[in-house]
Amino acid sequence: MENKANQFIRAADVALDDPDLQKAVAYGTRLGFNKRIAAMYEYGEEHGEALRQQAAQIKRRALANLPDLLEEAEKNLLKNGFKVLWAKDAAEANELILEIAKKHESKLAIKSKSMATEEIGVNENLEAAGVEVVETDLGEFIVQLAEERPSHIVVPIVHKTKESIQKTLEEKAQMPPTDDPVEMARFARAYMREKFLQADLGISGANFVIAETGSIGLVMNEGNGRFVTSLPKVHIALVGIEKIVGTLAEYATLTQVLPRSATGQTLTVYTNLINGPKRLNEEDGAEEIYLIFLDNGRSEIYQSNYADSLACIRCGSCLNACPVYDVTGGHAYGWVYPGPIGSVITPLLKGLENAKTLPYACSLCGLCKDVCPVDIDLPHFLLDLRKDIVQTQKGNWFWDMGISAWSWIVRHPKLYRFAGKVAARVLGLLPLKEIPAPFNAWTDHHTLPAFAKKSFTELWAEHQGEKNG
Amino acid sequence: MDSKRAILDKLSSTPSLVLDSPESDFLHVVPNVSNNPEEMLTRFITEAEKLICKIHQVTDEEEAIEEILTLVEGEEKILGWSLDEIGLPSLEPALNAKNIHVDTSPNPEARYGVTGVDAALAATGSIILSSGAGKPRVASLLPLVHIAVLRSEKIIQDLESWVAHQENLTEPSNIFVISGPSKTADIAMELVMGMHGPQEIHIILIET
Repeated sequence: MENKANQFIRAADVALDDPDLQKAVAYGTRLGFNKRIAAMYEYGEEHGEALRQQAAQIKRRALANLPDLLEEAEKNLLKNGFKVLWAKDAAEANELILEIAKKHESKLAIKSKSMATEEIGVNENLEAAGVEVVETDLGEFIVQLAEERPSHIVVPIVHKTKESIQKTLEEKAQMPPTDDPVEMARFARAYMREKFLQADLGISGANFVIAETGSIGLVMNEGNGRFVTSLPKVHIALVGIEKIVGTLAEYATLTQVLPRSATGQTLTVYTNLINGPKRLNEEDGAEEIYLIFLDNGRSEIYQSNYADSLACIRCGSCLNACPVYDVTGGHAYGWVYPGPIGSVITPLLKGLENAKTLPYACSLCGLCKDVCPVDIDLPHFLLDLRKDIVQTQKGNWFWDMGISAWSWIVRHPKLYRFAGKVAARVLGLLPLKEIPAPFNAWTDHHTLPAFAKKSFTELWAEHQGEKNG
Repeated sequence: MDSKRAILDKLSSTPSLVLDSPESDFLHVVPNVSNNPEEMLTRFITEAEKLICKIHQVTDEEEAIEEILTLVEGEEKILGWSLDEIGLPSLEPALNAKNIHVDTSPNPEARYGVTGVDAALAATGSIILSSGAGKPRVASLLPLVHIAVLRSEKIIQDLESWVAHQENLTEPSNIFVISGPSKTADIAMELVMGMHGPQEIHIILIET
């Protein structure tokens, strides 16, 4: 997946000029935000908070024991009949997937929603080798037809209006004209049915890998994930190494907290546990399952001060809570992971220099931490990343010059006070509504307020005088 | 193998920078679900109806078969678990008498699927099914209508109590908790039932 994270400001400008996107995203995120509150705190605020802390501890415990749990998981997965492979980066994961597809002479792959596969760009890879890849989640299918990217971790087409979805389905999949979401879904169901029955390769991610039992856990509402993991003879699950949980009991907590936090459901329609390939006496199921553990930068994060960001269970609630995501939508973030979690992990996975605007796409309001089901301190990480950027990256000369001038003048208080007075006097005399270029970035979007008659230092001196006198 | 070692070595070389919190007793996500059979039955029905499942309460096998026959009236082929696995021995002659054939292979024409249920959760109104001999996964997935035969003694408190009693969890290749019919809200957040899986779930609840 191509990374355009450094174009955030330009992309956000485009999004801000798109009223359809604004309306669709705001509607979707607010709905998600409110449903999360109702579900997480269904049994009281105290219970909801305690659950959040329990989920947080489960993920921290898994991270603390990550190497051991990965070994334990591999041992139990193998015992259950999985084939386990390891990929250090996107290129290796794509090579492994291509090898499997070639070995089994795959022609049609069906895919269920997976962020890890977005990350490595598996569709492009397989299509280049002549394997047809069909996204089977309704939202992902529409994104694929429209040749776009998903804009939200959980609701991939939250940015699209009903009208634009209708247009895509009519133009790209020859849907008979209808503006009824039920009819559109029926059309997609029938279209996909044929693919489900023909496919010879299923590709999924996993929400959890349970080390203790050697199983993978998937959550889904549409049921496409059950088709993908049941009908084709071969199933590949691409899983980030941080998806490990230790025990079945820990999984039971997380697989319930995830939907409560993501969509406000008590459980997703299907809570799917896969324990390996079809057993000899069974009627259906994949005959071979390859589980690929994907690193792709995660072990680097593990070694850094940002290791805690690996606790994320991809519920998308920080996207729904974020006032920046709310107006820009997900595409502006330029890579796979949008919103606050994206602003933290994109610079970590793709390199600071390739995503240096993202940590600033944040008002530091702190809501993303409050809604996080595993309590990741995202605002703190965003601040730390800003610090890293200032310390390691070459800045913009104009900005650096301004900061140097500022730093020099504040070290000379008399001069500072004098300059302040002059500025207030001069600007007070001019009937300015905006500051002329090149200092106009702020006043492009705001009205210039009038300067106060007295400066803070003067007011402070008076205040101290009154207090003492 | 090289990549595995490289990844694990990197992870292991990291000083334990993440806190290792003590294991504590887990809170249940849905707290205080009674384990009284009658209360669990009532709770299950309430929660399953919230999920838009249709509950058919019956008192014996005969009534259960009648309910199923009313639903599948007029069909020639339905999907299903083998009749032994559903646990209604006289369902087979009853279906035969109506010339309804039960298929265990993925017949795309079938509109109904009849299955048994391994366990059900009072807290969330969910039913749990697994794969196995005579228990095709497709029976609860392909058809537009899923008919699930549940005996009330299989209702337990919640997911936590279910996992606590799993001794041979990995014997079946697939276990799935079903909480209502397949659905999507991908188009402008409007709810549509029956996206890829069944649009309706009928639970034939035999109270024993």
